[in-house]
Order: sequence, then structure tokens, then C-alpha cells
Amino acid sequence: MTRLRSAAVGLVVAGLAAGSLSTGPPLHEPVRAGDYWILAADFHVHGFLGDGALAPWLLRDEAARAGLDVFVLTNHNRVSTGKFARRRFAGTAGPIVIPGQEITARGFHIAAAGLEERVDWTHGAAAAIRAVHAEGGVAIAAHPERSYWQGWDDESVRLLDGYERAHPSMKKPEAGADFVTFAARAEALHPGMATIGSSDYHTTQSPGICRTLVLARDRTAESVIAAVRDGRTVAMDMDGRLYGHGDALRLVQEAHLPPPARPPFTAGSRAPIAAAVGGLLLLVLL
Amino acid sequence: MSADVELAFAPADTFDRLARTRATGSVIGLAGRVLLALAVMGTSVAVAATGRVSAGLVAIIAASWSFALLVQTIAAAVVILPARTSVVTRLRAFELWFQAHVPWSLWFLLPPLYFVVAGRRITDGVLMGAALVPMAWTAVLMRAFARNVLRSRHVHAVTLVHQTVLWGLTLCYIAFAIGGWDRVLDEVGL
Repeated sequence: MTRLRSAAVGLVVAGLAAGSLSTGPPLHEPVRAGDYWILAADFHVHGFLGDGALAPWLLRDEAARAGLDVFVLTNHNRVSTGKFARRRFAGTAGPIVIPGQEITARGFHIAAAGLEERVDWTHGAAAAIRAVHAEGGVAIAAHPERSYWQGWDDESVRLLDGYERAHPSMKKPEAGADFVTFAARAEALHPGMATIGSSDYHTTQSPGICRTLVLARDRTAESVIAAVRDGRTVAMDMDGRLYGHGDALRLVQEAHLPPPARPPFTAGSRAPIAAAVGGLLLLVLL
Repeated sequence: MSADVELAFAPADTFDRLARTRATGSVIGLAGRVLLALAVMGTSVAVAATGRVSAGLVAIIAASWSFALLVQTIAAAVVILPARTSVVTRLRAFELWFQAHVPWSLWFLLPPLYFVVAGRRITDGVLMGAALVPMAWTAVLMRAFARNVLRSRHVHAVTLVHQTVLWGLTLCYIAFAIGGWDRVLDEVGL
């Protein structure tokens, strides 16, 4: 039995060691389009401490692996994790981290980017958006499916800076049409509003699986926020379809960017997992 | 088959036997069980969240989520520390309780095993539904632990206190993670 357990420990160590040997992809280098950088951004990502699985430093690694240039940490009704991450990574190479908050209430969810203080969610969507603007941030309607429409009156939709046009929930048969309906309403009430693609990453899927291509004047958080405010964004869904308007859409189409990379479910990543998990299973059972 | 597995499937007899075999605890034995639980949790979350494993990734995730074991320890302490009729030392009681990890360990290993076999991730709904099994199973194990290790005459009460503390603390974290108690109360219309 001792020999078997030793073999199981060896299997776990071998799996973890093999997994550690694989290096990540090189840092993503954004492309230029006219006067702009096309930055790949994810405006809706959850982390630990919160209901996301990964601590900020691991999240940033995953964002880099997914080819993102920017991500916004939007824990539910909390902005502290994003502020911590921004401070921790200031001046280092890798994706830009912007503090945000998923303003979470019964009738609406807003992915807010560029915050310093927690926004009160209890006074309705319009009041929350005004509070975001007062802090210099932008407010994006998060996963606007039917079940989240209750809090969106015309005034609050008009105040929005953007709405999630691409989101993993769109794959649900009943939700796809809801995204189209909300997009039509948003365009009617606030023409040219930024179209946003977000992963809403918690534990599964991958950051950037749906993403926003931001036409930013430079590679800073301030430029990214300004681009959303001006509607210089294009949403990209999981299959690489683009949603946007005007020059922004044309510039991104001309750049011929690849669709978001799926998680690396390759034989190379599966073998170390098989060894580590097999070893752990033996340790539990033997 | 390990004593841990025997304990999961025949808890009363196995707890009784293990308690009679050795009454004093071993720090190394307890540390080994804690380390195994951390490795299982870290590996499972790493695969679910990133689709890969590495020593650094598993170690950081295990450290981040070690508070889940702290919650388990607090809930166990609430019933172990006041026990006056236990046939083993307190350290041995913790060691024996952490030996009851099999239901949760198997639940944590289910998603990466599915990934290895099927090449894709298990859905959140299936995983959450499957969590009902270790939840109920662990309550059964606590009943046997209370009866055969703590030798309590109030087995139901001990089990109830343990489950209340365990799920009360877990609920507090979930409430924190999804936006606070005020949001939870708002969602349920209070």
C-alpha cells in the first residue's frame, strides 16, 4: 500500500511539474488602425475575493493568455479587488487592469468601469449610472436578458454608455433574441452607444471569450474609458462575429482579427491534468 | 481500499474501529489530510478555471481557497472542543474528522476527471446538483462521528449544530461574494 501511495504522490508531482514546464503565449501586441490602437478588452470579469475563482494575479495571467490588452475587474457591488489589482500591477508589463463593479440589483445589472468608490445600487439604474459618471467611469448594461429588464426604464437606457451585445449567455436558445431586442431599444434611445462584448468570467469559460475591440488613442485606462464613452468599440462574440457601427466597425473589419481563442484543451494540457488528477484519485481511494 | 473510503461507506463501524485502534492524534497525520484536501481543491479549481495545471497555479489557488478548510475546521471545533465523553484526544478527533473527506474529494475530482475523459468542462448546473450528494453524505458521516468518536448522547443536536455552523459560515461567504446581505434580502423581496 505504501508503495502504491508513493507512486500516486509521484504521479501528482509529475503532472504538476509537466504542467509547469509549458510556457504561456507571448504578450499580445495590439494592432494599429488609423489613429487608434485596437485593444482587446473584457469589461466584465469576476475574481477572488468574490464569486470568481482566481485571485487578481492569476486572472491577469489568464487575461494575457487569452490575448487581452485590458480587463475590468467587476465583482458584485464591490470595487476593492479591482483597486488592489490596479495598484499591484501598476507599471508592469501585461494587460491593463481597470477597477470596476458589477452593480447588482434585482431588476438590472451594470458593469461599471473606471471606479474609485463603490456605487450604491439601491436607488435604481438611473441613479447608479449618474453615480458612475460622477466618478468618471462608464456604465454598461450587463447581460441584458429578459430577466434583467425590469429595472431598465427609458431614462436609464438613455444614460448608458454601452450595453453587452456579445456575452456567453447569448448561446442559450431563449436569450439570443433578448439581446437583439435590447440592442434595438438601446440604439433607438441612444444612437451610437458603445457595443460591448464581455465574458462575465467567474470559474469556467475563459476571460475574453466574448470581447470588446476598443479603438483607443493610446494604451491607457483613461483612453479605454474615453473610447467607450465616445462609442468607439466593436463587440466580438465567441464565434468571431462583430457587432458595432460606423467607422469603428469598418476599421475593425479591415484589421481581420482572429476570433477569441478557446481554452487550450489540447493533448499537451490534458496529459499533466490526467497525471495529477489520477494521482490524487489514487491517494483518496488507496 | 483506504480507511478513508471504508469510513465513507461504513462510517459507524470504521469510526469505532479507528477510535479504538489509536486514541491519541498525530500532527503529521492531520497535516497530511489537510494537504491532500488542499491539493484536491487547488487542482480541481485550476482545471475548471484555466484548463491546465501547474505547481504555482495549484498552490496559489489552494492558498486562496484554504478558507474553505478553515470553515470546516471551525465547524468541527464547535462540536469537538466541548465534547466531554470523547474516547480520543481532541487532536485525534480532528484527525478522524478530516479522514471523512472522501465525499467532497470525489466531488472536487469529478470535473477534472470529466475533462480528462470527455475533453470539455462539466456544466455548472450539473456540478451544483451533484454537490447535494456530498452535502447529505457528510451530514451522515457527522452523525456517525458524534456517536462513535465523540460518544455523544445528543447525536442529532451535535449534527444539527455542526451543519448549522458549517452552512451558516458558507452562506455568509456566498452573500459577501454576490454583493452583500442587502442584495440577498432584496432578491428575496425583503
